[in-house]
Amino acid sequence: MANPDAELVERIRNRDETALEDVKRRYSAYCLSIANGILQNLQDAEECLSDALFALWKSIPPHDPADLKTFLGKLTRNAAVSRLRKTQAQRRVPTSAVFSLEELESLVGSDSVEEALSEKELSECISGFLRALPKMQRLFFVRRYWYCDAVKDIAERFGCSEGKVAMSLKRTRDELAETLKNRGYHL
Amino acid sequence: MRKEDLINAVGGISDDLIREADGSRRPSGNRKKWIALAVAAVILLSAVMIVPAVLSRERPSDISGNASEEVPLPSNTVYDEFGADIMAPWKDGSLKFTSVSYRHSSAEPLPALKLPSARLLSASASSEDAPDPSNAVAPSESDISPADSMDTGREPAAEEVTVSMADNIRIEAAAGTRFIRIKTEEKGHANCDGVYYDVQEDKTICISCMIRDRMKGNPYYTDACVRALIEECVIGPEELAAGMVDGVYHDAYLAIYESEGLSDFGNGKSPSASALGIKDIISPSARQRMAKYKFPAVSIVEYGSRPDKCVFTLVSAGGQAVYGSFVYDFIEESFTKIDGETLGVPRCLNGFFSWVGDEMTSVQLPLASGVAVDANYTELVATIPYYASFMEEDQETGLFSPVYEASNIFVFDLTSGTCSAVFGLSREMKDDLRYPTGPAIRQNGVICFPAGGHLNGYAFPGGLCYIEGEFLAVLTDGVRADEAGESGGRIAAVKQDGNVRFFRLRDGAPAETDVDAFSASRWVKDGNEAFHLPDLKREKLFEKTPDAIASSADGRFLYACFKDDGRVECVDLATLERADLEPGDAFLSQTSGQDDVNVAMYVSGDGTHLLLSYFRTRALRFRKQDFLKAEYERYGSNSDDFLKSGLSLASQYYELDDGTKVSFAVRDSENRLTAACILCADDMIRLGKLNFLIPLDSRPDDYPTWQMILADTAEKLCEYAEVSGNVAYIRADAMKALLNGADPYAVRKLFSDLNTSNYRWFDAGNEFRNLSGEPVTPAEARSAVADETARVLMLYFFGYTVPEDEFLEESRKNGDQFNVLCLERYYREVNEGLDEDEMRRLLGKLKSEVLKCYPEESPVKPSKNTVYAYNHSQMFEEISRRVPDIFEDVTGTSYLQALSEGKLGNRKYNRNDFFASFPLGNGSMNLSPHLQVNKEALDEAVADARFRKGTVAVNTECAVYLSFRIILSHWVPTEKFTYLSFGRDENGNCFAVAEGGYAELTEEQYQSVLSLLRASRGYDPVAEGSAEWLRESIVREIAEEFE
Repeated sequence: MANPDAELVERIRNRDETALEDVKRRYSAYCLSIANGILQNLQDAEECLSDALFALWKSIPPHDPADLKTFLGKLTRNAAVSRLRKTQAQRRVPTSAVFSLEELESLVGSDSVEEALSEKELSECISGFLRALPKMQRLFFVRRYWYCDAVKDIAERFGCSEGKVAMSLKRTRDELAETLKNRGYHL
Repeated sequence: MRKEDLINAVGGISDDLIREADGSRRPSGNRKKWIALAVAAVILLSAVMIVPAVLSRERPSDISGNASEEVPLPSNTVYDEFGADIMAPWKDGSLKFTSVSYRHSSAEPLPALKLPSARLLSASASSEDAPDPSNAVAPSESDISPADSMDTGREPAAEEVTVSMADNIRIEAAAGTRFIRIKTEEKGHANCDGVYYDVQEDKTICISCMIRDRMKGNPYYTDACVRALIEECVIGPEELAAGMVDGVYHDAYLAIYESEGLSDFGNGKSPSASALGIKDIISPSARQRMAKYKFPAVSIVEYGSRPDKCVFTLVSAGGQAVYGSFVYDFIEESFTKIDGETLGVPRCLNGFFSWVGDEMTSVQLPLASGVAVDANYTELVATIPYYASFMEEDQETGLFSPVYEASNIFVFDLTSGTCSAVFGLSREMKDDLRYPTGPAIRQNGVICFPAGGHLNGYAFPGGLCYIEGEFLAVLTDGVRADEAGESGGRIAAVKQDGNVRFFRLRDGAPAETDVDAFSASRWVKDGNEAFHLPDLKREKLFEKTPDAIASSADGRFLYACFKDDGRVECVDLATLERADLEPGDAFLSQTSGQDDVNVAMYVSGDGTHLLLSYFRTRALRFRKQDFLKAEYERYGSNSDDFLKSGLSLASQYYELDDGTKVSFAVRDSENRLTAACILCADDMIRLGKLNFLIPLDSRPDDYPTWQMILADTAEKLCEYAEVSGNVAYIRADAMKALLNGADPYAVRKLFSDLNTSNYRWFDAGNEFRNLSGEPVTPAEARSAVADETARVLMLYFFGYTVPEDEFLEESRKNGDQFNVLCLERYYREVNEGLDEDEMRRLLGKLKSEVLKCYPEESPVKPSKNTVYAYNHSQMFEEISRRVPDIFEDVTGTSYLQALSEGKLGNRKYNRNDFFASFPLGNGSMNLSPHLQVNKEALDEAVADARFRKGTVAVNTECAVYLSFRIILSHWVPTEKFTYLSFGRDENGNCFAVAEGGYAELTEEQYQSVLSLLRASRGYDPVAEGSAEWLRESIVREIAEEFE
């Protein structure tokens, strides 16, 4: 099979446990960078990687990820965010990821009304919104709220000032909130 | 929309967006690209610089910052403009640049380069153009030219590098490829060591200043300082490897990198010490200097050294013991123990702390992880790992002893040997060091330290928090637990900005949820005191001292319990309202303060007594009466009646319609039967029925819980029997239900626990009594039990001791038929004179009964590779022979020897205490295909069980248990694993619970443990005969009795 990722997915589908090892070997650095960026703790990040691999194992089938790396990255990010929520109360000094999530959460005014939202639908809505943004603005947003990078790191990464990044993020959040409201979401 | 919906939705954005952001990066952020660009830049730079040189000297210059080129220096000549003491790399005549990079684009010309304090120029020089070195003037930035700066007085090589610098700056060395070590008077760096010019980042870095800055207000060199630098990415592995940081700082950096697993370079890491979690560093130079001293099989874990002194800790070769920490004076060649005693040869100092009054008088470090000293070596700061030690006050002795939950910082005065302060911090707060500024204050077992300003540190068993404000008081008890069901624990009352606020000492979180509940200004402390707000005065809460303070079964409520007019009344200490309790309602087990003892309190069946019960999960021994008395005193009761009520447990019972007497039944809020106690002691003899407590709560729906219940049940059986001093009869139907449903290995363990203990009833010479309590012969006892299954069980219970030599011989012959042999021997004894044919028939039936305990599908069958024994000493010898290191203790003494000499712990161990059933095949305890137990972890767990629980139980069940411990310890936030279980609650949520810890499990985690069980036992938790099935059947059975 030409595509090694497709081969790995196929092996997982066939319940070949060694495939997980190969996946880990191939993408552990990528996943660890995501998890560690969120958790700021290598040990926790490694555990997230394990969780993500296990989730990968459980999700194939029924899922058939076209992009294994990104799929695994999402699982890792979910695991890391989940872990972050559990541990952040115990942290004296919040990580940048906490600030990142709080910024995003600030778009939602009240947490009390629980609605049965389609996460997939909402994700697609946000994806569409992001595609319509200028590239740098989009990159800032994804780095900040998906990878949970610190503003400082984003600024350094893209060679601009922190103020510029922060302002861009603020603008994007406002626009996103407006977009979501227009789509009928209650924030 | 919920907030988490938005977070999750962002997490689920399209893959292409994630990929786009993943790959996006400014070129400078990518090291490889950056280097490539940098090389190009250097080439361009070279070209810019070279062309004039070529034009002027008619000699091309080949200048390069390329990665692999080694550029010879002109000569070893000392250039005036460079200063008189240019260091080794230059003198050696070559400087190796593996990469040189600049922040700026390669397209930018040289003038755009910003070289604030030093400049790298490349050029070639010719002898004829070189000025006389003696006349050389330090070039200014404006007049630097390749020719001027590279006058060597000789014909330069084709590849030469010229380094020039501004005034008053001297290049000392190249540190790797990126840094240049310089000496400069600028910006107050005159007395600094480690001033570097970072070519890549185009800035000057001064290590001394950075560390000095970190240490402002902090007189200690701690690794937190250097850690902070690393976390700020000032220093990376590359720089470290390049030697940019040297001396003590280098070691510290190295240690941190290694301890963080960030790098594997360096040569100082001690595996044994790392097993302790020690961030160890061993300076090669210091080790060399100390090599002439002979230490007994130890590793030297060094924490920082300087030219005249160093501090180090000795660790045993096995990494299991820390002998102590010392200061070594290289000049005086003397060792000084941290308590000030000067020693010729270090000796074992493993020990703890002793206190007199409020001051620590002597210090011994149990497990020091980080040790730092101040600049004058007058004070030492030691960090004890979070898992290693925290101090808890012993209620009886008033001394402090370590518990294992926190991390401390100890500040020792090296000159006097005293500890001037103790401070603790949680693991998450290591970087948030705050040092005590005054002596410790003890209050209610809590150690408080003023730590500057109004900052207080509260150290307490279970953790530490920092709470700002003026410390007022520590409140205990009387606190409604939070919604998570956790006990409220201790609360600190602190005055902040004129207001009194409350914080949980457990984690420092504000105790806001309970404030409203106590708005009536009543906080209860120790059950009988009200704590009034805001005047903070205390007064008696109840006229009568409560007989007991007990938690509700779910742990959320705390009650003061009174006996009043023959009835038990309980008051909710949170609301001060009378609790509407029904007879049989159970309170939560309360830890007695002993590791292995749990106390349960119940309202007696007739509602007239508080019943105090307890069970022990390990084989600590002390008399029940003593224990009850201790508990009675612990609860502060002055009521003899209470004590009597506890002791009168056996005589309190319900009489059911069928005449069965039970002491009480415990029901939940929906009136479901959750536990039953079928009396004990006197009733046991009188009724001829075995009495034991079967907790049938909603949790034990999985095997491990059930197993533990069985073990607990065994304990209880033994306890009651001990009280009676007589033999017990088993109630046939109950035990039959057990046997029919329980996992055979759990049953075996039950019997093994019984048989291998030195309980009195076992040692009582198999004294039998009839239903009237009169002594009877064994034959009479046998005939009194009609049910043959019960008779078999009775035999099990009575057990039989086989002489050791015979046992071994029989074991060799028969493998694992030991229990059968026991029965056979017993049968032959009690049936002396019986017809041989009849005897064989009975034996055959017995064996078949016993062997039914081994289901066909069980992967763990009796075999010659598995020896189950309670022939203790020889068993241990055999195990020790086959697996030599399994019982090796910390000093290398064989476990058996230590055991026999009573060296293990305070208690003198009796060989008969130990039960061993150990798979001897390979010693690795491969429990299942899914779980290859790490031997090191298992050893640790075994050692832990051995030392902390006071017994050794290395059998298959224990191994599984330990496996669970190892697994669950990752999930349950506790170090205490006196017991543990996992399962589902009534809502189907998975959980793991252990003493002191509770964790929700994901379905995956739950299933993984179940799969372990299944794989290791062939055990199906839902099939007939399973624990679940058994539980339900017993519930049904007992419920039918009640009906």
